[in-house]
Amino acid sequence: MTSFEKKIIEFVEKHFLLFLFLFVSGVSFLIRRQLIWYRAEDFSVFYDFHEKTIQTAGWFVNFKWFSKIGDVSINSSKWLILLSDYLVAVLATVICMWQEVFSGNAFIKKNAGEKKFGNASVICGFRMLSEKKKAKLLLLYTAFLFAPTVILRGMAQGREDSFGMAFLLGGYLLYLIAYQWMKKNQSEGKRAKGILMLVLALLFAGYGICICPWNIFMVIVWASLRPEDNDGEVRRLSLVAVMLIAVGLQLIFGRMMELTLGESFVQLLRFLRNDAATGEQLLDAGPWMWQQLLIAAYPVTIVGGILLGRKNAENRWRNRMLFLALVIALATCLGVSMGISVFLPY
Amino acid sequence: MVILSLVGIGIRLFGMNFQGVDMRMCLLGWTDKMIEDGRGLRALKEFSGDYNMPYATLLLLLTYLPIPRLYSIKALSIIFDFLLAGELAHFFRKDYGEKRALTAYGIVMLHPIVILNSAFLGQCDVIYIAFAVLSFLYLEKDQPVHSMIALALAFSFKLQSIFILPILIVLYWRRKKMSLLHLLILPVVWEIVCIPAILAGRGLGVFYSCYLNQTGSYEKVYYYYPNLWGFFQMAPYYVFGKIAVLTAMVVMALMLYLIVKSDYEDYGTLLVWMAMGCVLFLPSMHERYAFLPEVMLPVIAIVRKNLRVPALVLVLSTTACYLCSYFYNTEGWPPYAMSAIHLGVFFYITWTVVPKLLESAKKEVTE
Repeated sequence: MTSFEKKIIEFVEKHFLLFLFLFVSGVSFLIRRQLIWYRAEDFSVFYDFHEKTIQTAGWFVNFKWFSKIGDVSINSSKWLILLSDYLVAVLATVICMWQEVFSGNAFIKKNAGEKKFGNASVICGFRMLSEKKKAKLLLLYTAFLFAPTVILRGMAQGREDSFGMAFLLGGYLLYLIAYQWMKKNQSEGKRAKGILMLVLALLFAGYGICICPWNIFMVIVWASLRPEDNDGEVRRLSLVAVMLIAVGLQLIFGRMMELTLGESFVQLLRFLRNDAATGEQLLDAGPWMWQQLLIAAYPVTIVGGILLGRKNAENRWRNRMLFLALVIALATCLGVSMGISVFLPY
Repeated sequence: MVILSLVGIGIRLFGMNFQGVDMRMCLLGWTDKMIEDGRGLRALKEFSGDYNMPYATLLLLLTYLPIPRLYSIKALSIIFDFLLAGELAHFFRKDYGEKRALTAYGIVMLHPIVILNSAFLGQCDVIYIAFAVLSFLYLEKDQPVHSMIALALAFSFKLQSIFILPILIVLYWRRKKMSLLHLLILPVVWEIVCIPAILAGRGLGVFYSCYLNQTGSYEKVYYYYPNLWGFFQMAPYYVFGKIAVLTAMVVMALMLYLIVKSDYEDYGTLLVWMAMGCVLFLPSMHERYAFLPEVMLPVIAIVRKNLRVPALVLVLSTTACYLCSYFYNTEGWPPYAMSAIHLGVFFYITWTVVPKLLESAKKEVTE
């Protein structure tokens, strides 16, 4: 090998993670860009405002916004999904590595100090990561970005699962930061900021559940946190508050939809009994199960991925969630792709 | 070794009279045309098959033999069965001793896919695999010139030799013994093996034009090899073709990153892992394109006990695929099930390799 080649290889090796991060992000964008104009037939059916539609009111509000953009209104809404996919990948990765990198790492605490908690210590923490942890970080980011369920449910079929999930995970991350700030040894000012942050976190999370009700699976993550990251009482109160906010937001959006489209504001629960495409009541167990599986697949995949990615998740949870996440992801991949096979685009 | 060879020959004799569709329509058809064209250089000039010129030249030479072409074409592939088994046994003997070398030889000689491919179907996949594996073995022993000659010969027979490239890139990166300048050997060898065709008037670029004409000729995401895209059989190629290629690129880049950042040196397992990664994630894959990992996984499993079950599963499922496609002319098991089995094998290997890669990741902490 020539010395010039050696230098090139050393340079690439030194910055491999950065190059790969850019490469993965770029390729992910190209793949999603490729799907912007793809129209599975059921994609159009879902956007047909038939009676007894199962979409939530929050979903309709978003769609109405994006139907104002671009010449082909249906497809333009996919840009929102594209951005949300990236947000979800970043947020889910950060949540997975939270304890190791951004909060619980003793090495960082020793060198950066808890007082410097914030951007400075985050960057510092990242730089101090071992190669193994950096690799894990990149693998998690890639897995969340390229999971078949994420791409198929989002860009191929145009569902807004990732939009809701981005809010939910954003809320959850804010909650983790708020909890750090509200600890007993903090100053009064910081605790006050922490409470404000907590309110914001709960609003975000509530909105996330309002958009996609099955995002409620995220409570599993909430519940699986270790004691040092979470206080039982705060957690229980937060969960109740999130649920109340979700219902409240649904009522507000529902009222907006009732005024503009004449839709009922109890449609949040329609997915539990009506067929997504036709709006007819589901009478057989098989199609009903299939619909619930497909709707639940996205949040279960993301939440399962987070549980698997977390260092300190208990083993029994990891094993069960691994199995569940893999089954759901594969089943969705199968189901959605069969959908694509049957319903050719036009 | 003699007994294994005799048993191998005996089994192969059962397949000598079998005529598959490819044999009837393509190989015998092309050689018929060569005879019609006078069996000289003109036959090469008029050759319209989708194989490259070196194999066409060999087919032309076979027409001169005083035995039926059905047998001579198959005999050529069977000779390479022996060469592949021999070269693997030779390298195994050096590293793992006589007993395991014999096992490696026996596995190749009695491998159902190798037997079906060469003796029954008369396909030449074993020829390019023999050279591709040789290229890998030479580079692992830090002999880049030999490796590049073998690689060039592998590409001379089939473009699917490209599946060996990822592991060669890994060896290039890790060992730092090979230079990119060694790649200059490739075009030289290609021109040499195409001399008869060039003399026949096909031009200096005949080697390249043959493969360039092939790209894009199979515009289906799923082309009968049960890989990831088996789940997307009717998905339109104009959208999902590019997605499949991009996905495969990401998979390869991640593999390369993990390997380069680690000290893990089980290159045999990495060869199978990376070759399977290519075949399972790229679009337009034919049933026979996974020949390299299908042959190498059982061989590697001789020294890696945890790979024995996946090797057995892969061989059995692929054999079922072959039998259904080529002998019973049915789809056999649902492609979804076959895809799931193949992906399952791949994920199992990934499951065993990735933790080792992460564990052996260089421990330095960057400041």
